[in-house]
Amino acid sequence: MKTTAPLQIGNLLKTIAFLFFGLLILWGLINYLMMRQVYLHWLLLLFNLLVATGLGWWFYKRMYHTTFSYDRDGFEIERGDSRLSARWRDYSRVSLVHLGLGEFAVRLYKDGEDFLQIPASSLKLDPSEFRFQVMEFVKGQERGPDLGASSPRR
Amino acid sequence: MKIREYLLKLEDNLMTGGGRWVADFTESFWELPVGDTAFDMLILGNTRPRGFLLSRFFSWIVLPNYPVACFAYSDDPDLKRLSPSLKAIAEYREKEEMPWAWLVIVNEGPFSRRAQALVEKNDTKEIGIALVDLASQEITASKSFIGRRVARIAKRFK
Repeated sequence: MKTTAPLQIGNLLKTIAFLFFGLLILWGLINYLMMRQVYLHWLLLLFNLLVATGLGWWFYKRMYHTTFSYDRDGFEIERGDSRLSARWRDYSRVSLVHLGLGEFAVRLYKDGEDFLQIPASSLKLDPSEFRFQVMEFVKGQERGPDLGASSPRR
Repeated sequence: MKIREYLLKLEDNLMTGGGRWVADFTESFWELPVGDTAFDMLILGNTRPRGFLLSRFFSWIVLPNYPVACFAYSDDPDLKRLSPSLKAIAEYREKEEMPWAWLVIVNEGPFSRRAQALVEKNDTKEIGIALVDLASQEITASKSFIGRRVARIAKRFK
């Protein structure tokens, strides 16, 4: 099985920044409520940054970090605490989706209705090439029913 | 330029905002059977772009909200597949309540004169058709407003 699990810098920095400012606001509030003034020092900011980095890493691993393994028969995707493994033949239709800001994902449709999304850009895969590869995997197996004139998304 | 290469460029262009003044295209299917006919590519979109905060609010209050699509198929210089394709697109549009759609037909050589005349005469408001000859880089489009728009987008990377 081929495995990819790149570090998603954007999500990690977002989590750290959110926690840093969150902890700073919390510290300011507690200070003001207890002493009617806000105590700030660069050592405190450094300590806050260290705490935010540690907590941010933990949150990132639990919420965002994605590990994706696949071969001809199936795949396994693990995002944070949730894990899913499936076979390509369980799906009948493949699409490429632009999520915005240059991020692409490959969608796998089951019976033309339910879908699973593989975040190709976040996994540092070439979205277009990966889409064609997945189409081959799905086509190599039993094909799903023709969707007729209805939407491939339905 | 090969057909696949052209379609990939068209797809990339539309999905990364190339058609933003008309619609926001977000999802693409390849080798898709629709009714009795198969299309090389189908890109789905919506006239209301997603945006962020202000642009999202602005599009929500100003822009109409309906789905649109760009169909594409290839290797049909005499347009023998045009009639069933238009029928399939019409059925699809009706089911999806889609006011209009584009159809791009790509060929590595010239289209027949009859085919070009057929498309040029077509003034259907709901479907804009563009014939793309990759060899001569010539584009023939239907004369409706939607047809002129698709011609402008189809010729961007000839």
